[in-house]
Amino acid sequence: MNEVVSDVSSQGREPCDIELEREVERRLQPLWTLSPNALLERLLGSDPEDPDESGAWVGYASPTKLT
Amino acid sequence: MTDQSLFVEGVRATIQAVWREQRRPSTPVRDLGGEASPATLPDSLRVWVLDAAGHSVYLSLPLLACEAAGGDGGAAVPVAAAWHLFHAGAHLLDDVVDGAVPGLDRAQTLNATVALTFLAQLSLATLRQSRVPAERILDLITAFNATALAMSAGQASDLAWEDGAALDAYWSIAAAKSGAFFALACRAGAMLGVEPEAETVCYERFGAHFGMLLQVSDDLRAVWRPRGRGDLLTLGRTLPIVYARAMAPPETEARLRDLVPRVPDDAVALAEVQELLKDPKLLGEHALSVLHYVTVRAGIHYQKARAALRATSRRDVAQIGLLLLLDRVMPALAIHDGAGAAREATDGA
Repeated sequence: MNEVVSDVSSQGREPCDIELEREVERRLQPLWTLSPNALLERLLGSDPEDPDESGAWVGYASPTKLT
Repeated sequence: MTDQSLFVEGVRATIQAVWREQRRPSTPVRDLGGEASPATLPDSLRVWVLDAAGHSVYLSLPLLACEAAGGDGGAAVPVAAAWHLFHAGAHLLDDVVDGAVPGLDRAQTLNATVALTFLAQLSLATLRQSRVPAERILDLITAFNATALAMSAGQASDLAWEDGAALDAYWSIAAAKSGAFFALACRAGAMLGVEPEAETVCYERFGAHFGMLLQVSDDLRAVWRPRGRGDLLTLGRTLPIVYARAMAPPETEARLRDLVPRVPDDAVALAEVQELLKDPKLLGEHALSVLHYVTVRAGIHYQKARAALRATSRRDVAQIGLLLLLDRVMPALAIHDGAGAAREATDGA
């Protein structure tokens, strides 16, 4: 695994990562006041049918047959 | 070339062109009778790959990275086509391994994955027509092959996944699969630019964190908005479950261990898992709740991706496109400063 890829798997034990984690906690502060359901809605996007909000694989289902 | 639809059409035309190669047997094969009835890949595979190119939200990553690094976007077309073919092969392999598409023949799928991998190499070879130096084409082929090896290693670890594996294993596998794959999209695009290797690494790093964020987002959806049986069959390897089991008190861990394998055939078990994971008190007072932990980890990858772009010395409008794609992965993270991020990318441009 190259350096960049192994770097992204680190779980932030370096001092600079701990600092970044605090910064992220602070930036996302408004999310921590939400109820679990409301937070989940925000993370997943409001419209489950909207392909623009559904990540990379929508419209990309594998074929059911390859013959 | 900056128009998205023209770009996608270019990618599809490149795929069609390399696909025709496999229908044209070499002279010795023709002499053996291959011309009369040439063996071909299933047409359903070609149709699916071309259709998927039209739906792929992230196909423009190589284009944007290329333009951001000062390259000619036209040269990014064969690279994007190669990445898409590679992507399609990996996606098929994942689906057959996970049992996500029950009717899909395993042997046919594995064969298709091999074919798509080599079609990707042929697509990179078409860069000769864009006057990309042969040495650079070789560098690109090497980058694709190195990534394929990293992803295969990640897949091997994924296949060897043991029930209740550690959180470290989750992150290593995600990095080797999603991280490496999206790092390649951006690295390969940036390699067509005019900037030195240090800049290319910045785009590679952006792509790696982009891929990790996408994996976390995909895992959240697998638990709370599963798209099919494949998501449910692999639920035990998603971040919310892996984290919860790693941090939960023994009784809760045992409950999750019991519930998760039942989820594919038991809607009540799925509902209970979803409720448990949402409970802020599930893991006690000394651990972050599942949703809080997942959000923070996603936020860290989001911030690191942005930092990677900020570390580049060249400012280009294509960086806004990269940031907008990043914001799209998990919009909740971008709400507070999404517009600021775009401005930040072009400051000094």
